[in-house]
Amino acid sequence: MLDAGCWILDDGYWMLECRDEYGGESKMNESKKSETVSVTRREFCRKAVKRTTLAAAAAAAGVAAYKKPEIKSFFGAGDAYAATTGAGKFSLKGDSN
Amino acid sequence: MDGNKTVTANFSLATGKAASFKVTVTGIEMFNGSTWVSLFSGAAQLDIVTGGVFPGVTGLALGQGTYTKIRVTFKNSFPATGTLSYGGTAYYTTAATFGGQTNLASTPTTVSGSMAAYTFRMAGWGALNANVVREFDITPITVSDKTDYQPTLRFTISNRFRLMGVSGSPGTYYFEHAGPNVSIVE
Repeated sequence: MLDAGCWILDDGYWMLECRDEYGGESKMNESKKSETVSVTRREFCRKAVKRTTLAAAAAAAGVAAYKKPEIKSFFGAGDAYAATTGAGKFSLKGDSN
Repeated sequence: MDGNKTVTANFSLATGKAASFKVTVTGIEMFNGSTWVSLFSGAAQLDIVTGGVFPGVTGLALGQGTYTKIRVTFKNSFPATGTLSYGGTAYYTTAATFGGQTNLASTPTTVSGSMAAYTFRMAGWGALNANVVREFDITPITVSDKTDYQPTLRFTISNRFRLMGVSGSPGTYYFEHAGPNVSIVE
């Protein structure tokens, strides 16, 4: 495994993501689900959207339009976040003279 | 003349560099041409005499864009140890304040085993633990997923560590630390 992180979505779900050295595939454990699935992150997001849409419709049909879950927080190694977002990396060194 | 008056002056008896000097960074931001992007907020302490990477400030995500400035915030609180010699005697820092000059003057000891860190603040940088903000221009950097930007926060502290007092009167001796120069090295 190269890195891992925990995402919290604004619909109350969370997911864990682990990347292995073979790249491409991410393995995720989702909250409120007992099974472990192996899907890409994009596929996971689509499933999360579908599930939440159904839940919202059942609970309050016609009351509010579904809002796509967004990432509220991220916990984990900075490397994991950077690898997921395509961003670069930053470190601060210190010394004296 | 009405009479003689005695003026007591403290002189720098010895100067050098502290043996350890800890810096606590509390914030890092970078400017992308329109806004300041926060990269770190918290407290990361490093002994800059030893040097290295600030704990927890490594591998942080740096969003795509072109950055031209960096802003670093650190505490005006610098735990430091050190020793200087004068008149053939070595003096060491202790945690005790000298002459009521809280966080400005350390009472020395001649017992090496009693050396302890004294938390200095820089008089010109405000109160103890005040946030000190320094902004630096950097060579513009365009960030991609291949970027691994690792600048160095450098404190120039050579000859800022001083043993002060009246020569020949050890009871007047104390350590002080003058304000360092702070820079970013890319």
